[in-house]
Amino acid sequence: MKETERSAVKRKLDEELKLHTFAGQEAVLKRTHPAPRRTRLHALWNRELEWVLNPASLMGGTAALLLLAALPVLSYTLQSPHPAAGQRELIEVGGSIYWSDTYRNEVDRLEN
Amino acid sequence: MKIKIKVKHLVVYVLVPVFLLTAAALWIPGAVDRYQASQTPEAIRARMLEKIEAASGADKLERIAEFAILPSAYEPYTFDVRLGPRAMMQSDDGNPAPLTPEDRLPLLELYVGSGPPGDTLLRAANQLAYEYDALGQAEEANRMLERTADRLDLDGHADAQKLQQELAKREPSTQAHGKTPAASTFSGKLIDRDGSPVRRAGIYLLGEEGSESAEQNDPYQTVTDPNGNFEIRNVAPGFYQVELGLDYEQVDGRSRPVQWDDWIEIKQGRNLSKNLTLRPLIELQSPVNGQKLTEDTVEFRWTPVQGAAYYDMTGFIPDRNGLSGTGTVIRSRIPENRLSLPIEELYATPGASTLPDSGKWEDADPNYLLAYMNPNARFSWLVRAYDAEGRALSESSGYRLNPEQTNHLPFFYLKQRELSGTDRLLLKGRLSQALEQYRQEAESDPRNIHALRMRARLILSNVEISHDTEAKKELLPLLERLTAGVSAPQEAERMLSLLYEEADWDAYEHYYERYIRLNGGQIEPYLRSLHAASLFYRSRAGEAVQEFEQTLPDDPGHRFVGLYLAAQLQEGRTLGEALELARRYPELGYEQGGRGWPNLLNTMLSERSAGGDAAAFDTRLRTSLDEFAQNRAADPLASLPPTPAGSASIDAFVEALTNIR
Repeated sequence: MKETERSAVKRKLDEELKLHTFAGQEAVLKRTHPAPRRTRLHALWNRELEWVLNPASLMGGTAALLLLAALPVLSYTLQSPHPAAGQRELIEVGGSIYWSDTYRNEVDRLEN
Repeated sequence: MKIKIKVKHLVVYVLVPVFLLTAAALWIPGAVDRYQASQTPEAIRARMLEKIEAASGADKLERIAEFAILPSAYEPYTFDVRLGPRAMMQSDDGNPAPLTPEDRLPLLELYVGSGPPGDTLLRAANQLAYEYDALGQAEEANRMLERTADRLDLDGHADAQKLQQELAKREPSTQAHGKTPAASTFSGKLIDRDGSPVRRAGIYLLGEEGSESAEQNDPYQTVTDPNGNFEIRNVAPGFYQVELGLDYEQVDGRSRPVQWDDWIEIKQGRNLSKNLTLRPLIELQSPVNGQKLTEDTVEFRWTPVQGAAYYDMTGFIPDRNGLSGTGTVIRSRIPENRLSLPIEELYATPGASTLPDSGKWEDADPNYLLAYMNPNARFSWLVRAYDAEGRALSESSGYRLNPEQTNHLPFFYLKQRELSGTDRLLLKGRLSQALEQYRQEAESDPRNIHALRMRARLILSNVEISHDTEAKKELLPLLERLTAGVSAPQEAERMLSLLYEEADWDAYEHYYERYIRLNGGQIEPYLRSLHAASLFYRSRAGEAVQEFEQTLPDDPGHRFVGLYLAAQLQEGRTLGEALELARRYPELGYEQGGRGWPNLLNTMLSERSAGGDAAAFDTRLRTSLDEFAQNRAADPLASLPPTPAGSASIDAFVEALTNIR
């Protein structure tokens, strides 16, 4: 009788809990058995990120990366002043001889 | 599209590089600044002087050698630019020379006084002699060389002899060893455009090519002192060309007006004194700086040159690679410092005639054919000024390195017309098609001068390049029609040269008259000389002599003087009289001075008197000259070997005549 009663209670309980699912094992485990910091960092380090990319952001991202890669070169180019006399080139145009950089700058200025 | 990435990969492959790149971008400007500051000539000079100062004994001498003697930039006679009748050229040695002459003088003195014997010591002694010369202390240089030679001699060192040789070159000619006592001197002063002296400039004397002394690689040379004075001793008598060695600052904005046929004659035992002057460049005033011209008349203006009798104006048409290398004279003998040129006359001016590498007419550069009728081409121009004797005084082209010199860039556009469809076809290089279309356009509309001109121009270039006889027949009536309207003398000039080459004498006479009319009654000395030559070939020696006498004074190079002498001999002048004339008009050519014809005539004179039978000699000479003239009458460019006359000196004279073209 006693066994029968227990079974009945168990059945009833099962029936009542049928609609509930317990999904908090991890949270409970974390609270009851907290992981060491190293393990957490390791988990973070190995965490996988996921992005959904559309074409626009793909292009934007590529452009940003390229720009970034070119940054040192750009900064060097912008920084470099006229080359020293020893390294400058002469060009002959219409019988006259000019420093090619001065001449090109002047022509660009006049033609634009 | 989804991207999955672990945090660790994101950090390693993306964030770390981004960080590094940003850091580099921030660090680079400062680092570049610091590096450049440390590499300026001033900084390098200061470091070198410090290192030398800090050292002592043998170490100090080594540093002096390293910094002040061995760099190639300190070799005597190292200049940025060599300017002369043969070439205007830059030195390709861009090695920096941070130490100044004032820095180096005491260092060289120290090294020469106490340095170890060897190549470096020789080098230092030569450099020091050069520095003394540049300071006008030639005597000090001689004493130093003597002292050093003695020091080496005491050690029994062979280099002493090398210094003795250097000394011998420097001594006055009367004391020089192994030289004729009557060797000559060339001296003078180099004066800048503002009248101030030019110091530390190189002065070179270049002899005739093939002569024994002072060829291109081993000229007589000296350096100007602080007053611009120079003196070259022990010069062998002869014809020389003077070249200058200058640094960029010395040449910038100046011109040294010389022509390829500028020679000086240094006579035995004499001093030739000659001041050399740098002139300011002529400034072009208009059209400049890419002006787009639309008026029917183009007004060219430039700054006047004192003492100028006339100016020549040259235009440059960019070729298919956009380079403006070859210029052609647009107008010569312009009496004032301006020229109003109706656009039609500019259109009638042809570009340079070029021979394509392939030798095929279809490969000719269409830009030169369309010339000034191309509204998209960036033309440039220059002006040269001459005095009444035809000597160049100054020019607008030269070194323009200072930004102030680039205020007026000599280029402009002619926007008075637009390209036609056929012009576009031509510019694409389809010459045959374009020629056919121009022909159709010219025939359907007789007033279409452009189509007529382009047709004539294309055929002319075909005739010049492929010598097509059919094309030549087609060309003559076209040029007749064209020159009846607006035309430029250059077109008749080219036609004239062509007819001369082809020995088409009737047509040649006709075009000679036409050319003179188109050129305002003037005849270019070169064309007049060709004309005189043609008269000589056509057995009209008397007329040839008259024409030559008109043109020889205007042609400083006397390029055709040999033919003049031949014509005179045919007219009955004696060899002695011809020799006088040869001396009066020395032929001065590229790399050749004026000794050739007098030498040839002298040899004939001695062979004539040595041989005994003078009459037979004269007959042989006359027969040879007749044969030469007849060959040339059939082909003015003929270089046939003349039949041997049985006399070496006559053969040599006639052979020299065949080299005249």
